[in-house]
Formats: sequence, C-alpha cells, structure tokens
Amino acid sequence: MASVRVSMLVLMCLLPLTAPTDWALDVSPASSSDGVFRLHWEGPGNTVSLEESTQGDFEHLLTVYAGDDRAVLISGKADGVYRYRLLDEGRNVVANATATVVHHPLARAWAFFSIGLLVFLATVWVVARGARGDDEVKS
Amino acid sequence: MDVNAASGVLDAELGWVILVAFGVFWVVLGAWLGRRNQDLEGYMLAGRKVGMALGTATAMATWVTSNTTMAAPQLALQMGIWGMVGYSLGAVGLILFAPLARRIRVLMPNGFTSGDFVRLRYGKVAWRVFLAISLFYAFGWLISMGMAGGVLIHALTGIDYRIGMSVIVWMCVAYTLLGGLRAVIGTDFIQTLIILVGVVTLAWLAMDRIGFDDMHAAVLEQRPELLNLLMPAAIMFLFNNLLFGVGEIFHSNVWWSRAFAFREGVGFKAYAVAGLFWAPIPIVAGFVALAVPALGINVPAADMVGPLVAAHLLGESGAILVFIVVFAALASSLDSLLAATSDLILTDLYKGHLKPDADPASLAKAARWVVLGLGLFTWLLCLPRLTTLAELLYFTGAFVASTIWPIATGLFWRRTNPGGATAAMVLGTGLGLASYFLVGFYVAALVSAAVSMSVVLLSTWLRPADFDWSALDPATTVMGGGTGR
Repeated sequence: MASVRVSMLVLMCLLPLTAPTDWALDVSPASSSDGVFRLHWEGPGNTVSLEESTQGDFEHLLTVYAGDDRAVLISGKADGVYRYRLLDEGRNVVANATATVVHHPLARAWAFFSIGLLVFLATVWVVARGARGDDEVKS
Repeated sequence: MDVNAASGVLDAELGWVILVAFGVFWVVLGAWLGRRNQDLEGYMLAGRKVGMALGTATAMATWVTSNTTMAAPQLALQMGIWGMVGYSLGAVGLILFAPLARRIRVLMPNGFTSGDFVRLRYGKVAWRVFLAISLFYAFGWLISMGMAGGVLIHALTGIDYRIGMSVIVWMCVAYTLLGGLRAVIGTDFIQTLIILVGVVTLAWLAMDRIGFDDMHAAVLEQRPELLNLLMPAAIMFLFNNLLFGVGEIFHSNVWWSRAFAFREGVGFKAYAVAGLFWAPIPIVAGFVALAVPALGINVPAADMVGPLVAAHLLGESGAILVFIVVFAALASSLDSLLAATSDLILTDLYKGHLKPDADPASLAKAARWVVLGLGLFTWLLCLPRLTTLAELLYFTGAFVASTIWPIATGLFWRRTNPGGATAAMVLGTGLGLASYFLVGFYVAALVSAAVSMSVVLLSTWLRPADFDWSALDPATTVMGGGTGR
C-alpha cells in the first residue's frame, strides 16, 4: 500500500512536467468590449508564429508574433471579428482562434461619464464647503 | 507563471546583486531610523512630529506604487491616451485629502486609526463594515504590491516570480518590523528622490531614442483604438479611476496614520503639494507603453509592459534604472501599507475586539507580531499569481469607493446618520461589484461611489442626526481606553 502511495506521489509530481502533445490556442475573453484580449498557447514545440487574418480569409496576413513566448496581449482593436492561426517551426498551421470585439455603445459610455462627473463635483463641493466652515470655526 | 520564455533582459546574477544590495541597505537604514522609537506612539505614529519635507515625500512616495510604475503602462496599453490621463487623475485623491487631513488633526489630535473615527462617528455596526472593507482593500493592495515585485524581477532578470516576490515582501517586513512608521517615512523620503530622478531620466532617454511620428504611425496601424479619444471603455474609465483614488485615500489608514503623525499644520500642505507633484508621473510612466507597436515588442501579460518596454528601449543600463526605480516605488508603498494595516489590526481588531484591556507594553510587543503575521499572510497569498495587477486592484475599487461619502460627510456634516453610512457602504460595495462583473472593471468604483452618495444624501435628508463633535474626544478612542459608544 505504501509503495502504491509513493508511486502515486511520484506520478503526481511528474504530471506537470509532461510536455503537451497537441497545440492549443486560447483567446480570453473571446468577446471583448474594450478591444483587449489575450492569446495564449501551449504545445510540444518552442518557436511559433502567430498570424492575424486582416480580412478573414488568411490571404491578407499580419504576423503578430514570432518567437518562443507563450502568450500575446492584443489591445486597441476596433469593432470586428479577428481570426488568428498558430504555426509551428515547420510553418504548419497547428491551431486557430477567433476573437470578437464589440465596444460599449457611446451613449452608455457618456452616461457613466456623466454620473462620474456628478459624483466628483458633489464630493468636491462637500469637501470645499466643509473646509471653508472649518476655517471659519478656527478663526 | 512562465508566459515569457524570452524574459530576462538583465543577467540573473546582476539582478541578485541589486536585490541583495538594496535589500540590505533598506533594512539597515530602517533599523537605524527606528532606533529612537521608545513607546507605542513612537512606533506607530513616529511621535506625531513629522515635518513638511518628510510629510510631502512620504505622501508622494506611498502614492507612487505598482499602480503608477507598472499598472499605468498596462492601462495605457489597454485604454490608450485616456488610460494615462485617467491615471494621473489619481492625484485628485491626494489633493482632496488635504482639507480632510487638517480636519482629522483638529477633531482627533490623539487618534490612531481611520477605524477609530468610524467607530466614534457611526458606532460599532458601521465600524465593522468599514473594517471589513478596509482590510479587504489593504490585503488586495498588499498582494498587488508583492505580485508587482515578483513580476518586475521576473521580467527584468528572469529570476523566478516566487523568489523575487519573496525577497521584496520579506525585505519590507524586516525594516517595518525594526523601525515602525519612523523607518517607513524615512525610507520613503530617499525612495521618492530615487523615483523622481529615475522617472525623469527614463522619460528623457525614451524621447531621445524614439520619435513621436514613428510611435503614432505604428499605434494607428496596429492598435488604432488607443488613440481614439471616444473609446467607450476609456471614457467610462476616466472618472472611475479618479473616484477609486479618492476612495482609496479617504478611507485607508495609510493616509489617516500620516494625518495623525504629521506635526500640526503640516497635513494640508503636504498632501496638496504631494498631489501636484504626483500627477505627471503616471503620464510619463504610461507613455512608454505606446511605444510597443513601434518597437515590435511582444507583451505576454499586460502588467509586464512597463519593465519590458523600458528595458528594450534603454538596454542594460535602462533595465538597471527601471529595476531600482520600481523596486523603490514598491518598497515605499509596501512598507507603508504593512505599517498602516498593522496599526488597524492592532488597534481595531486586537485591542478593539479581542483584548480591550491590553496595556501599552503588551500592545507594543503585539504590534511587531502583527507586522510579522501580516507579512506572512501577504507572502502566502502572493505565491500563486492569480490575476493581473490592474484586475486585482480595480476589484477593490468597488469596496473603497463606497466609503467616500460616509467619510467626507462624517467629517464635515453633523446630520449624516450611522444607519445611512452603513447602508451606503454595503449597497455601494454590492452594486459596485455587480457592475464589475456585468459591465467591466472600469466602472466598479464609479457605480459604488454613485450608489453610496445617493444613499448618504437620501438617508441624511430623511433622518438627519445631530452629531456632537466632542464624541471624537481622545479619551474615547480605543487606545485612549474607550471601547465604543
């Protein structure tokens, strides 16, 4: 029984060290409302290329990254659907992912902005008025 | 978390030399500065005699945190122009706190913590809600600070995140433990000088190496929304960040303990000047993130962008400079937070709830154990790197922004009532958190502050109280022997 436990323990220790056999490309979040998302990949090799299709058909390509890293942060994207593919060292396509960007409506943004401005001005009013009263009390 | 296999601009050995040299320097300096601490008040509040120069420096250095040096570039990369500008609005919190600091010193010349004020002003229920909010925020900030240390060291030297994080956390614990608030404020002064010289040098070098035209063209081509002044999320973020900063400063014992520690008449000027000097720093720090497209740098995780860009732009000497500057910024905030949170735990939890009859000698001993325990707790929570700095930080925004109105009106209005203040904190936090998940991290503090303000106004109008300011008398503070109303 003890030897089984030891074997299990050794196996558990080794599990995280086992290299993945297939490539996986994740995008998070898959639907973004601020133009920001992160692509992360795992796989059996090191050097990869990540390509973005600028028109959805992978005929017009932009190489987003080429190297040994395991993730890329994408930001500042306008509304649209963005398709990515991962290539291994032999230039074989090993994984695909899609991200969608739909920014918040401007009306919603201005509504939050207005609420923030109102709270800020009211806070300044409370503090400034209180501080003035404080001065009067002290004098 | 190994997202960046190519990380390590500096040689790991050089990284270790800097870490050890600065670690030893801050610990020895902290111990030396704290040598005159003779009693609990000296340890916790530096004898209440901090002057203008040290006062301004400590306020500024504490506010230059991982927020400014690492999360500001992250937000510039995510929110563009408004990310930087919105971040600099964090200065408003310091400036608005200036009149509050004066008021605090007048009303509670012998107070110890922000919790003391809430208990005496609003009673025990509000006090406990406030303590929960304040401690949650303090832990969030402590963890983000420890994480930032690990991320920075990993990004620049390739040293494992956990090792770098451990070094910075335990270094700050050591000198806070040895020197108390006197050590924290003294090291803050030197750290401020390092931060200012370093940030200005970096900005100048960056301008010299890369032109505006190239940067602008690359951003426009690859990340166009960063230059869009009508980017919806960024518009929402602007006042959210401002109110988050105000909430952080108005409620946190980091700032209250300084208001108590400053000599009479110093608080107002120190906070106002610190705010004005602080405002440009996030813009300078955030600006470098916009160089990412022009330089073709890969940013694997959002919070690594600052160190990566600076190191890429400026080479090894730049990387060393960034290392030293951010190390100083992190240390100056981490130590302040350790000291102030320990005060809150000691005064409001230990003395206020567990041992009301503890004498000053046993409290002085307990103060050191609390710092040590808090350091251990922070270290354990930092070990698994669960989220990015900005996400963690803005999650706490929903909590702290709910305290703005209960604190501000509690200090200036007699009529604000305890039930209203408590409800404002609970409802503000709840709806702020809901908006964090339903809309985005960039509205959590804004919603929380708006809800809290509405509840305070409505409850004050419906059931006005008539608070007697003399109830904030020193004899009724926890340290003065009082256990509550």
